[in-house]
Amino acid sequence: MKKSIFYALALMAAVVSCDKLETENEEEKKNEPAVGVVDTVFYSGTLVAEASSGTATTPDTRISVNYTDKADSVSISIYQAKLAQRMPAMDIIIPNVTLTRNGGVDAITSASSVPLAMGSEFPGYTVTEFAGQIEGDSIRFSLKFGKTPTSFSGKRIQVAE
Amino acid sequence: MRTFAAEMKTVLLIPLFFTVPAEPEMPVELPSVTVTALKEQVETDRIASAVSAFSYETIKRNGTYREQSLSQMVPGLHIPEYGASLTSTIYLRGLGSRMENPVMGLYIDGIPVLDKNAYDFDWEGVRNVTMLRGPQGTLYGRNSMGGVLSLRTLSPSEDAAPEVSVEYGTAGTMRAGAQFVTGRNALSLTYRHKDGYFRNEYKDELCDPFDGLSMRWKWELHSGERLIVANMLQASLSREGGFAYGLWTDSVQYPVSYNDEGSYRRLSVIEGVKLDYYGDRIKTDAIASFQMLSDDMNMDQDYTSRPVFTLEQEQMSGAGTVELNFRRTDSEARWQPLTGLFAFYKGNRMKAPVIFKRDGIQTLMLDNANRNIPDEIGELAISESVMPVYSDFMIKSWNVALFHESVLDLDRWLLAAGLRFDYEGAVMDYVSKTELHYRMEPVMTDYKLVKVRYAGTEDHSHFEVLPKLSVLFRATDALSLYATLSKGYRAGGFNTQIFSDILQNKTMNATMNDMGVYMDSPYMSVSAGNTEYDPETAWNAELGMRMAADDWRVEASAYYTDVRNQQLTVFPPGKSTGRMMTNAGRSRSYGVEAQLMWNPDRLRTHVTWAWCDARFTDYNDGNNDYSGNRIPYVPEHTLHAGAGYSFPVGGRTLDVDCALRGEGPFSWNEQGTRREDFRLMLESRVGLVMDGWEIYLRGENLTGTGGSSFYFKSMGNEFFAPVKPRTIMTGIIFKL
Repeated sequence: MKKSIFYALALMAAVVSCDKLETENEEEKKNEPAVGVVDTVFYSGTLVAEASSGTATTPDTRISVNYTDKADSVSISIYQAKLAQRMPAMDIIIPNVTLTRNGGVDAITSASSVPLAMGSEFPGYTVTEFAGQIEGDSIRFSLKFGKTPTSFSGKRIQVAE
Repeated sequence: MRTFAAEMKTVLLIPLFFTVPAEPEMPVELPSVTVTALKEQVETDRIASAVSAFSYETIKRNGTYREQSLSQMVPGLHIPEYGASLTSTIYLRGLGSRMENPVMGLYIDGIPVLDKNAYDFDWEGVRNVTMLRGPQGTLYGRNSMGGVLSLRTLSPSEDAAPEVSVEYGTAGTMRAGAQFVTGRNALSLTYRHKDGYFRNEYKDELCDPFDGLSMRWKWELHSGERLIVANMLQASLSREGGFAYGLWTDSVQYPVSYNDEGSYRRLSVIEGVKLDYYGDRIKTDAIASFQMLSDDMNMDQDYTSRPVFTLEQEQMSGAGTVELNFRRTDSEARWQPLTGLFAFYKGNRMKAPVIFKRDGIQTLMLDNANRNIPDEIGELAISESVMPVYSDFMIKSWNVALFHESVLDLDRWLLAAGLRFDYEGAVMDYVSKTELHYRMEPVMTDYKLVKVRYAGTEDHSHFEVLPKLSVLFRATDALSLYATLSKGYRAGGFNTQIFSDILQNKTMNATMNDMGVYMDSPYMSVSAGNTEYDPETAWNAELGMRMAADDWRVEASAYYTDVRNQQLTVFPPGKSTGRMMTNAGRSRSYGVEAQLMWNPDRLRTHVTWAWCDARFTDYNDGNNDYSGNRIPYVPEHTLHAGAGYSFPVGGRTLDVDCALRGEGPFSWNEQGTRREDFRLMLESRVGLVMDGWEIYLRGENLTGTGGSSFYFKSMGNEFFAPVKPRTIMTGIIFKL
């Protein structure tokens, strides 16, 4: 009996410590400095958001693909993204987008990602069905911001430091 | 914060004042005129302008010890009595505004008072008041677009008995004054106190108390046969309460009720030197002055009992003026030229913080912001319960003018022509800043600091040419007719009051941008570059007549004034708070004025009446076209009619005087939707004059006539300030 209790306690301790560890990891993760951006490539193009209130098309929308020291992951920043006519434009960061290099065509995908806006996670616009590619100086992708299908296509631009 | 007593100690008791002496002991003959301090080269009766003049006896009998008392006594003049001494709101012949530069120039013994904040002071020792109506730009330059008020004060050259007076009355009003001449010095002193007429119900205290001390000292020296030197110092110190604005809503006038401080403190000093030199052919007079004004105003800007927002305005200004006039020593010559040079330099440091309190932050900032933020984004919150918006200014301004007027006396005809070249410039350095802690709920969990600073420099300059042509025809010894064409202007400036609105908008933009949110219509109405407003100019054409005999006098005039670049007080675009001056377009004003005086023997009668139709001819604020509407705050009629008689009573004299004072109707706004009817007030005075002293009883607004003296809007609320209620005072005057 005592042995069973001991093993149970040990297991509980292990589970708890695992949870604690996860929490700590999560906490560590939250408190970890952001993964370093080693390169940023800017593009300018047209953003189309098919909101329920109508389609918002914004030419000359600027985005950036932010390469990190993790070879298979990038984040994508959309500057002054207008996702509906009645909405103000916002700077949005889509983190943890998977990058798959395939010769001269890089695939960018993400099954689900909570974007960052106003300095915090913005779960109301959780990104799903993110799929696109980068080929030469061109980029195109489509996704859903919440329930809003959105697409972007554009060309690489040079931005002064 | 210095105490009142501490400040009293700093008031210099070096009163030295100068004036053109009434009867200088000089071999050079001066014109035998009604002695004034005007620049004109002819007697008052021969000035081709509408003139109102009041002797010392009239001033004393009417209790005219402030400029407001001249309202209606001068046809077409309306200086509403409301608020603090800061607000000398002057309307004359349909010209005027609530803020910034006045349309009436004020001269004290030939010295121009540059700052309108210093216009309202006690007139103890004022011996003669003369008002020229109509633009006087040629000789007097800036801010004389509606006219010039010239005060001549007690001179050491006058044979005036020393006088001490004390008056006490309603609302604990008390006034003590003294004036006397000793040697080369003339001294006037006044202390005035008022408990207040109007109660702030929220604080359960009177909101408009007043305490003020004024001193005026004039020193004069006749050096030899040709030189007169005079020096003057005038200082006034006052502490008073705030404005008695009560909310008006749903046609109900509510009493005064606001929670924040309303106060005004002012120290004003004017020091001047004058030299009159009579050469063989040319008389030169040189006038230089130094003027200092230090004041501090606190105002509950929303005038409600809620903690919304307050305004403080603290100023320290110093200015120097200099003027040289050259004219012929021979005042009887047919051709009388006057050539002059004028200049001033002024520096004004001003701090004007606006403090937003909890309700103000919610109502004026957050509600407006969140109205434009979709629910999906969240709701903006600010952690502060008090948020100051600081605005500091340093404004330097200057003016240089060259003028000439020639008067040709052809016996029955008097022709005058003049021209003034007037250049004025100003530079404003501004720093406006604030900070707040915000978060967008529910996305952001912590408040984030955003700081905003807006600084820069604006400048402007303007050049005006101010001509004048006039002709006066003396039809008979009693009757003169005149015609005048003249131009005047009111100086431009900078809209300092709008900077809190500019910074509010910038703060909202900065807050949103800090979050990476970009509104379709950024919060921006105007920038510092738009805060400048131009001078307002007026052309006036006038016909007049003047008849006088032994004991009666009649004057009448008709005028037409065309105003360009009219300066109006408006809200900043899209805002319901704040004030800015804008050049609204054009307006015109025409009217008729009349003055009748008949004083046979012991009887005194007078009627002063003016009718004015002042309207916008071109004014569209982007939302509404007000062309054709009456200009607000301008009374259509002014009236002052009175009679008095001096009864001999056993070696003494019983003076009985009554007068009706009337004004209106008014339109309170450009739309014409708020109007005030014509109103009459009765005033009276009974005085028993004995040998060496007088005791009297006088009353103002004896009819208890109600109504409003002023109107304004803030945050969509409308407010009225009531007219002064019935006041009764008793006093005693000793002539020593």
